[in-house]
Formats: sequence, structure tokens, C-alpha cells
Amino acid sequence: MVSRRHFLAGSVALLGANLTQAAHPVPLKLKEHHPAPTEQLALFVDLSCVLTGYTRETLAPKFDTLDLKNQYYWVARKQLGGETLDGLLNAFGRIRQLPEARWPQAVESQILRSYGLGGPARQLIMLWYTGAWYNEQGDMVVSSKAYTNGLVWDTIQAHPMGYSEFHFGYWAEDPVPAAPLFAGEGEAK
Amino acid sequence: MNQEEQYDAVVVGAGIAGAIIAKRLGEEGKRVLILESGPDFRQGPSRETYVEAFYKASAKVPEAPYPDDLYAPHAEVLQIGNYEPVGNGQHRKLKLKPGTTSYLDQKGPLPFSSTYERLAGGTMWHWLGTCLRMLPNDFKTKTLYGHGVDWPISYNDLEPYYCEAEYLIGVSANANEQSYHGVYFTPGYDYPMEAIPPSQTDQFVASNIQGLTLDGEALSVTPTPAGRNSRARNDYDNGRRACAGNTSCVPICPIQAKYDPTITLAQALQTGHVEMRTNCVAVDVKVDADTQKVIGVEYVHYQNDGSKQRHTVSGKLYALAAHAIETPRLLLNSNNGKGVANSSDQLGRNLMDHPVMNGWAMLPEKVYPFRGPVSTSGIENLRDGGFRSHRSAFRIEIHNVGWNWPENAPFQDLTNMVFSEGLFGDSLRKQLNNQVARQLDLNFLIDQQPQEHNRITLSKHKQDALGIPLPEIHYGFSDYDMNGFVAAFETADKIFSQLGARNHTHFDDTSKPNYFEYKGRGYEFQGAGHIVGTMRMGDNPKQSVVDKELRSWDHPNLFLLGSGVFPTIATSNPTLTIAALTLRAADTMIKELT
Repeated sequence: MVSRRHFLAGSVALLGANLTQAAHPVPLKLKEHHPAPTEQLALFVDLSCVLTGYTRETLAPKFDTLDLKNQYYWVARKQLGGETLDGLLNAFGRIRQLPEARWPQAVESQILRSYGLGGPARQLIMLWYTGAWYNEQGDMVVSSKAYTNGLVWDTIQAHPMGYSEFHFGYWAEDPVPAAPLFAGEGEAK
Repeated sequence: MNQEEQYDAVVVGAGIAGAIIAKRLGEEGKRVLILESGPDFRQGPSRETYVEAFYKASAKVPEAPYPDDLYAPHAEVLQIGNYEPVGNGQHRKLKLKPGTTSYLDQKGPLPFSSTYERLAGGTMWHWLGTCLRMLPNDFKTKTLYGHGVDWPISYNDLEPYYCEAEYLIGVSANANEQSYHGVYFTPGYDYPMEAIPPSQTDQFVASNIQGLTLDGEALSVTPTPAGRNSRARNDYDNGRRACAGNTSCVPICPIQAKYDPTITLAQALQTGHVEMRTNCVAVDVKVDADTQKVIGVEYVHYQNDGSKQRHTVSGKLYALAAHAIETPRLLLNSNNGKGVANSSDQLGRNLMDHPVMNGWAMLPEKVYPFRGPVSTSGIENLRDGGFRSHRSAFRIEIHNVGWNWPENAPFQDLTNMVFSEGLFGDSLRKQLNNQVARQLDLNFLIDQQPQEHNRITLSKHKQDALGIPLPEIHYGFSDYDMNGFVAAFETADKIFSQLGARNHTHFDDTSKPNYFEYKGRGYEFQGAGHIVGTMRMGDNPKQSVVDKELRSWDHPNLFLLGSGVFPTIATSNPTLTIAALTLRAADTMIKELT
């Protein structure tokens, strides 16, 4: 994502590492969405928690008005192809047999360091953090709700540029705490 | 000529200047027609539509929310990057990459990097909101420092109009904090609303910069007067919400806490004497050969289906307010391309901007940027001083968006951490927070000097869809300007040292079109969106386009409005001065129509 007047450096050049998709992001037609298979979606959410450092309560709350998990599942399926996404979820399915505390280490060694799965996993991180699908050719914002719910803003204890739910003068005060960490104790500070 | 209608005044352009003239004349019962090249704000796309477009845009540049009509096209920041440098150093040529198009036909040696919008409400849809007054010395730099050119008016002439403009826009500031470098206020006056609270970034800089003296000035942090709502003084109420700190002033305020000229346009229309026609591109200003009076403006009214109709309208007075590129373009192309209002040959010349040099650093503690208005304070001490005899002055805008401008934060930080450093999960979150929350970016807005050869003229080969020549731009910096960059670079370094911050400022990508070298160091600049100087006001009809009332020297019923009439750009963001000058011209026009 390129912001403001700054575009000349581009954000694309550094995207090279380990990506499998070289083409422009496939146009997203969100109306095609339908519920993802339950078990696949549960795997997708748990993997996303490990990758992003956010808990299930943040990514897939019980009363989920946004349903980003379902949107993102289909975005990933479309952009990566079914085979790659299934490969990623199957690999995580084996990791999920382990105690939860060991998931991050296993995801790092078996997925992020894997030649075929590392790139797609990183693209999933970018998707949750920015609401956009990133590849070597650039990025495509999934939807306005995806943008305004990008995790990057919570991580830096701010709000999306263009979407504040705070009151006049809040910027003179200390920021709100970020959401709980997935594996850590307490809050990200 | 088919004269179909007669108005007291015909206004071209529905930005702040056009809106103010229409409102003031309409309030006096004068019949006004506004012609606007772009879409309407009444039945056109809504603010919500524009905000949605901004959210969905991959490139969140100033133009991202706004339309680009086939018949009212405009420049885009993204296209400026499509110019490739050829050769080395400062005096290189720029060429367009094959297969790309740009609205500005740029001839270099450097790319003019500012853009504007063409829609009702004008470019102030995407303004930052800064409402600084010019300094008294800014009006007489030729006399005082031997550089630039003196204005034909003084600070004293403009002061009452600054007060009026601050109430029209709705400016938040405290007069006692703005009384520096000779700025004074009408006794008893204060701004309509209290100053915007300083951000945590401002607070850190303010408390840590104490003790640093440069060019004889002890540096300090001053809240920036802003056209955004805060807490009202007395019984002032403009009916809009207080700023909620959406941090997207450029390109759009989602809640209209920031002023934009659609507010004044609506007030103008409510007088019942003002009519606005949108999607109407003025193409010719017609002059009576005997009287030299303007007798009509021809325009093309286009529909979304591509159909077009030509009309001509007439008025007693004419006010061209289409900003500093489109107004000279229209006048130069009028009279069968022979030009109107240009006996001085100054029309289109002396194009200026505030070239912006970023200086960015990592602070020793977290200040949590990306919260609040994009900028809430500045370091204003170096806007004037004896150094102006040998180099440009600058103001320093403190940004509340980390390294967003120079390094595309937070996206670039994230991209680096995810793809290059292999971070994920909790460690990604901690690292990203620690890095972005400590970022500081200072924007140095450099006072560019007027130079005749920096100009907008008509492209000989390229036309828009209506067959009107595209604006051809010649742009570069003088030694005086570039010595301002040198001082800015060194000032940034001294400030960062004082703050205990680590300086990350670097300009080393020689392939960028906005890169240049001077005195052995590389620099980059960005446009500030401050397009100034192309139809300067003056005392001498041979050296200026309009007189001090903004009346064309050549055509007695033609007024030119907007930042194009500024003889110099100084260090203040131009909007407030545009508004003040327009209010002053309105008095002249009203007198003339009465």
C-alpha cells in the first residue's frame, strides 16, 4: 500500500522473498462468497492467529459482524489457488495436534521456512494487517472494511488513516492499549 | 457572438476563491454565475463515496478519493513518478515512460510535483488545513533582503481580511501564540476557535528542543492555526463537528471537521443570487477589441454520456479562479491562442511551490504517531531572518504520521519485517509497535524564489479530450532555493541531535525524478500542493499581470483570483492568503457593481 504523496520508493520492491504468485492480484469478486467448510475455516483462523499474533477473539469474535475470516479464506483461495491453500492448511493441521504453546515455533520451522509455504503464509500476514492482498506486482485492497480493520493500526496503537472512533484531542493523550497477544502474556506495549 | 445570458459577474472555478467571490457578491444581491469544470457536490458523488474510494485505493495519494473526468482531467502524483531522468545531475531532461500519459507536459529540469483537483470545492477537498498568515517581512523581501519581489500591498493592508478569512474558514488557534516575527492582530481580536491540542509528538519535540539556537533564533514549537474545528470561543458556531483526529486530512476529512469550500459554496447558493453550473469547462475568454473589456466566456458543458454543448455567457465583471495552472492555461489559449491579459508576458511565469524536504529520525521514546490531524504544530522560528539575503527561508511542519511521507510507514515497516526479517506473531507486533511509535518526520517547506523561466505554458503537441493544449511545465530551482535545502538538511541534523534522536534522513536514489545534487550532496523534494505565482500582482503593468486589486492591467472588468497572483510564495501555506486577497477583491468588485 502506498500512501500520501510518497510513491516513488514503492512498497513492492521488497516483496520478492519466497512468493509463489507472480501475476497481478486476481480481481476480487466478493459477492461470490459463501461459507467456507467449517474445519478448513477453523484451521485458517488458528493459523492466522499464530501468524499475526492476535487471538481468536480478535480475528474471529463470537459475534462477528464483519466476517473477515470467511472473506479472507476465499481471497486466499482465489489468489493462491486451492492446492496451495490446502497445502498450507494441511501443514498447519499437523502442527495443530501439538500443544498450543508449541504452535509458533512449529509454524516458523515447518511453514515460514518452507520454500513453498513461506511466501503464502507471509501474504496471509499482510492480508490481516492491511486488508490488502500483496504480491510482487503490488497490492489490492479487499474492501473498505478490510482496510479499516487492518491489524497494523491496532499494533501501532493508532487507528486506520481516515477512520477514527476517538474523541477530539485524544492525540494529546496516551494511546489505548493494543489487543491481547496470541502467545504472550499481557498486552503488546 | 451568441450572448445568451447576462450576469453581474461570471466566475470560473468553484474552489475557495470562486466560492468567496460568489458568496460576497450574492450577499449584496448581485447575480453571479459560477462555471466549474468538474462534478457538483450537491447531486454528484457524496463525501461517503469519496471516503470509500480512499479506503479502497491501493495508492493513498491526494487524488485517490476524487474523480478524473475525461473533459476535466488533472495531474496525479502517481504520474509524476513516470518521468525518467536522462543524463546526470541537476540539468537533466525528463521523459515519459512509453505507454504512460501525464496531464502535465513536464519539460524539467525537475518535475513539478504538486497537483490539484477539478471539482466543486476545489483542491481544498484535500488540503491539510494549515492557516498561517504571511509575515510582515514576506511582503517586502526585495527591499529587505534583495531577493524575490515586493508585494504591492503590505501586511497592514491585508490584516483585516486575514481576520475575516479566519472566521469564514473557521480557524482554530490562539492569537498570542501566533504573534511572532512581527505578526500582529487587530486589537481585541482572537481566532474563532481555540488552538488544536498538540500531539504527543509535538509535546516531545517542544520539551526537548529547548536550548537549541540556530541563526540567532531559539527554536520552539508552535501550534499551527488550522481550518478544522476545535472548541469555540464566545458564541462562534459553524455547525460542524469538532475534529476527531481521523489522520487523513490529506486527502479527505471523513466528517468535514476540516473546512472545505463546499461550505462557502452552499452559503453562496443560499443567497438566491448565485447559480453554479458544473461539468462546464471554460475554453475561451472573449475580449472586445475596442474597449479591451471582456465580453464573454465560452464554455463546454459535457455530460457523462460524452455529449457536449458549447455556450457563451456574459457579465459585467469576470473573475477567473481556476487555480494557478488552469487560469493561465485558459487565458493563454484564449483569443485563438494569442492570449488574453498577457501584455506583460508574465502570464504563466514565476511558477512556484513549496518544495518539501523531509527530515526523519527515530526518537528515543514512543510518541505514538498516526493519531490526530496529520500535523498540529510547527517550528516557525526560521521563517524569517538575515539569512534570507543568501538562501531561502523555510518553515518546519511536524508530522503526526511517523515516516508515512518519506518511508511509507507503517506499510513499509510491516513489509520489511514480514518479508525480509521473517517476523511473525507476537514478535512482529512488538517490533512493529516499537519501531513505528518512535518515528518522527519533519517537513521543511522551502520558500522558492520566483523565476521567469519556471512557467506553465501551452503544450505544442499534446491536447486534452476537448482539444485544449495540455499545460506544459518548466520547473527547476535556483541556487538561492537549493541553499535553502542545504540549510534544511543541516537544521534537521541539529534538531535530531538535540532531541537525542537518530537521524535516518537519506537521499540516495539517483534514479528518482525528484532527486538532485547540490554542493556534493543529494536531495529529494516533494510537492506541497502549493501552486503559486503564475499571474503575479504588482505595481508595474510591464512586470505583472494584475494590479493590487487583482484586476487585469489589460482588461478593466477582468479579475484574477487565487494563489497565482502571489508575487512570492513566502513560507506560509497559501490558502488563508488566497481567502484574504479574495475578500479584498470582493470589496472592489462590489463597489464597482454598485
